[in-house]
Amino acid sequence: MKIYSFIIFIFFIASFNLQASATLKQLAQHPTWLNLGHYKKPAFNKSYITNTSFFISSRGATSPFEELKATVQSFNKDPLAQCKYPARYTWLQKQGLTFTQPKSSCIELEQWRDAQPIHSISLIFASGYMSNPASLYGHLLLKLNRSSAKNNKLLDYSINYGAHVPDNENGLVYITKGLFGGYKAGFSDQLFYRHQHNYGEIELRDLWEYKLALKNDDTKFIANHLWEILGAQFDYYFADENCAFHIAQLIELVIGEQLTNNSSPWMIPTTVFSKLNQATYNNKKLVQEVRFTPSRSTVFIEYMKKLTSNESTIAEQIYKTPDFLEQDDFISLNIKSKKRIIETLFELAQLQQIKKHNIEHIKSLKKALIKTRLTLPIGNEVHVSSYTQQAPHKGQKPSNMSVSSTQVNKQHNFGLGFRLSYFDSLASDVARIAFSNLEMVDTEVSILNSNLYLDKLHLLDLESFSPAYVKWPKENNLSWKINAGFERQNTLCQSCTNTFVMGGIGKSYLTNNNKTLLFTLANGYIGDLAATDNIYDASLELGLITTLYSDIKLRTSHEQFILGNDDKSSTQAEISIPINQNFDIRVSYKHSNLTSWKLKLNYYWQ
Amino acid sequence: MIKRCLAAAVLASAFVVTPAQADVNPWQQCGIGAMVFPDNGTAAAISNVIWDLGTTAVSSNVSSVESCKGANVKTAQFIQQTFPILEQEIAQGEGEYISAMLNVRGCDSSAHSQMITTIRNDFAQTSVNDAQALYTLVESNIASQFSANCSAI
Repeated sequence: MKIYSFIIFIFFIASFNLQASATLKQLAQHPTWLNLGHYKKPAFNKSYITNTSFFISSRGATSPFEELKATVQSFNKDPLAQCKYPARYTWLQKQGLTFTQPKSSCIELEQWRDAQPIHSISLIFASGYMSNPASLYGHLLLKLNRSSAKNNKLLDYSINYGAHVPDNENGLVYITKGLFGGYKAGFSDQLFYRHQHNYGEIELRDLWEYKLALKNDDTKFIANHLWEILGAQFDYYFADENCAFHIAQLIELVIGEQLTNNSSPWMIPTTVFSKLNQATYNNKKLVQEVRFTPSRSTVFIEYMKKLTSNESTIAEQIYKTPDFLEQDDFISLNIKSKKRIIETLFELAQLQQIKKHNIEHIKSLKKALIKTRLTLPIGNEVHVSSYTQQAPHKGQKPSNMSVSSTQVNKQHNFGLGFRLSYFDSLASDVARIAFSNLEMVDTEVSILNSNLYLDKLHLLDLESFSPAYVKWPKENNLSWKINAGFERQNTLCQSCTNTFVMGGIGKSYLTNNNKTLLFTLANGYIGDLAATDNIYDASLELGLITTLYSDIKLRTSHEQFILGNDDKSSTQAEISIPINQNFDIRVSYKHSNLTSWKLKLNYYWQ
Repeated sequence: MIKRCLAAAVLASAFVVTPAQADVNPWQQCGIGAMVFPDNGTAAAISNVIWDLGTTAVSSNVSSVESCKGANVKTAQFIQQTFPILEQEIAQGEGEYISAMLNVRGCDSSAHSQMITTIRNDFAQTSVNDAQALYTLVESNIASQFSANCSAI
C-alpha cells in the first residue's frame, strides 16, 4: 500500500511539474512577457537589451522561457526581487502564479512612484531641430504625469531614450556611429522642466503633448516596467532602433502592437503620433487630449503681434537704447502698455541670450527691463489664447511613392519615384520648420523608348532658411543647403548626368505677410558634372517659395553657373497642389538647353 | 552653575545632529563640478556654471552623494538651469517656473503667491546677478519668514 501511495505521490509531483512547466512555456510566449524582456520580433530569441545584468538567467537575453523560469525561482527565494522587477511580479501574479515569499515593502520604488502619485501618461513630441543631425526628425519623450492642483507639471517625470555620446564627439564619428551602430543607449528619468527648458527655451522647439486615456493599473504597470529598465543598455541605431521605437514599445505593453512595425527599416517620431491618434484602447480612442507648448521663439512672434504700432515703435527704441525706459515717451504710457512692451522685450532678450547675440547689450537691456518691471504691478498682460501650429499627426506622412509623366523636347517618358523621408519645401507646414527641406534617399527612375533610366538618387538633401519673422530686430540668420547624389540633366541632353556633392550658403527674407520667402544662395559643386569638364563648379541662385492659395505652394528659382560648356543657367518652377493628407499633385518646369514639363502624383505613407 | 550649563551645552551640542544637507553649498559640493574638482570649491562652481548641475544623474531619484539629495540641492539645480526665466518671472510676479521652483523646495502652494511677492520685493532691493545669488535670497526668505510653509532640509 505504501509503495502504491509513494508511486502515486511521485506521479502526482511529476505531473504537477510537467503541468507547471507547460504553463510557464505558454507564459513565456505571451506578448506581454516578450515585451517585458524586449525580445526582438519575430523570432523572440534575442533581446534589444544588451547588458546581461538586466536578466536573471544567464541565458535570459536569448531565451524568454529560461528568463521566466529564473524569474519565478527568484520571486520564490529573494524577497527583494519583486522590488527590482515590479512589473514582472504583478503580471505573473495576474496570470495566477503565487510565490513563497510574501509581498515586500519596496521603499525606493514606492517613494519614486507613489510619493507624488503618477496618475497618467503622456507622449511628448519635440519638433525638428535643424542644428543637430540627430534631431532633424524631431524627438519623442514619455511623461509620467504627477501634477495636480498643488504640484506643477514641470515636476512630472520625463523619460528620455537616447544614445550615450561622449562629450566633444567628432561630428563624422557621431553620424557614422549613429547610423551604423557603435553607441549604447538607454532610458533616463529626469524632472520634466529639464526637457521643457532644453527643448523649448534653448533649442527653440515647439512641444506637443498627447495625454493617453489609460486605466490606473496600466499606468502603474508602465511605471513599474520603467523602474525595471532604467539601468538597461540597448544598441542605438538612428534610423530604426531610436527613441520613437523604444518609447512606443513601452506603450505597446498595454495597448498591443499598434504603434511600431518591426518590418520597417526606419522609424520616425511623427509616424508614432499618427498611429497614436488612430490607436484604440478599451474600444475608445487612446489619445485623451493634445496640448501645445510653444517654444520661446513662437511666443515672441505671437507677443509681437499683440503690440500696437506705437508700442512696437517704442519697444524698438528701448531695444536699441535701454535708457529709453526712463524717457517720457515710455513713462507716459498706461500700465498695460508698459507691461506689454516689457513682456515682449523679455521674450526677445531671452532669445538673444540663447543665440549669444550682443551679449553685453542684452545683459544691460534685461537688467533695465527687470528694474522697470519691478516697479509695475504683479501679473502678465499678454495672453495668447491660441496658436496656429498644428499637431504632428495632422502632418504629411514622411515616406513617398510617385508616378510621373515628363515631356522633354517633344519626347515623353513615364517615371516612378520613392522617397524614404521626410518633407520638401512645398510640403504642408504642419509639425516642421516652414520652407525647409529634409529629404533622404529620394530616387526616381524613368522609362523612355523601352529603356530604364535612373533619373535621380539624392542620398541627402537638406535646406534650411532662417528668415526674420518680425519687423525688427532684423535678425535673419544664414540660410544653407547640402545635397549629395546623382541627377540626370535631361534639359541638357538625355545622357547628361551629375554625380555630385554640393553645399550652399546665403540669406532669406520674408514678405507678403510672411507667406513668401525670397532667398539667395551661393552654391559650390564637386563631382562628375555634365555641364563642365571640371570636377567643380559654382553658382548663384535666386528664388522664392510662396503660398498661392490655401495650401497650394510654388517654388521657383534661377541658378546661374560660373563654369559650364553649354547654357550656364537653369530656371525651374514647381507647384504643389494637395489633395488630402496622403496625396498631392506636382507640376514642374525646368529650362536650360532644353525645356521639360513634368506632372507628378505623390502618395505619402508610413 | 555656569560651568554646569556650559558642560550641558557642550554635551547637548555633541548629540545634536545637524542634517547633512543643511550645510551643503550645492554649487561647490554637488553635481558635475564636485565630481571633477572634489577638493577645489571655486573650480567646482565654475564647472557647474558651464555644465549645469547634475546632468550625470540618470534618474531624478539618483544622486552621487547622500548630502546632495536634499530639497535645497534640487532647488539649486532648478535655479541653475532656469535662472534667466526665473528672474523674468520674479520681475513679473508670476509664472510656472517660479511656482515649480517653490514646489521643488517643498513649499505649500497656498503660500506661493505671498512668497513670490516677498522674493520680488527683495529682488528689487538686492543685486541678484546669478543663480547662486537667487538661491541665497530664496533660502534666506524661507529661513526668516516661511519656514512653516516649506519642508525642512
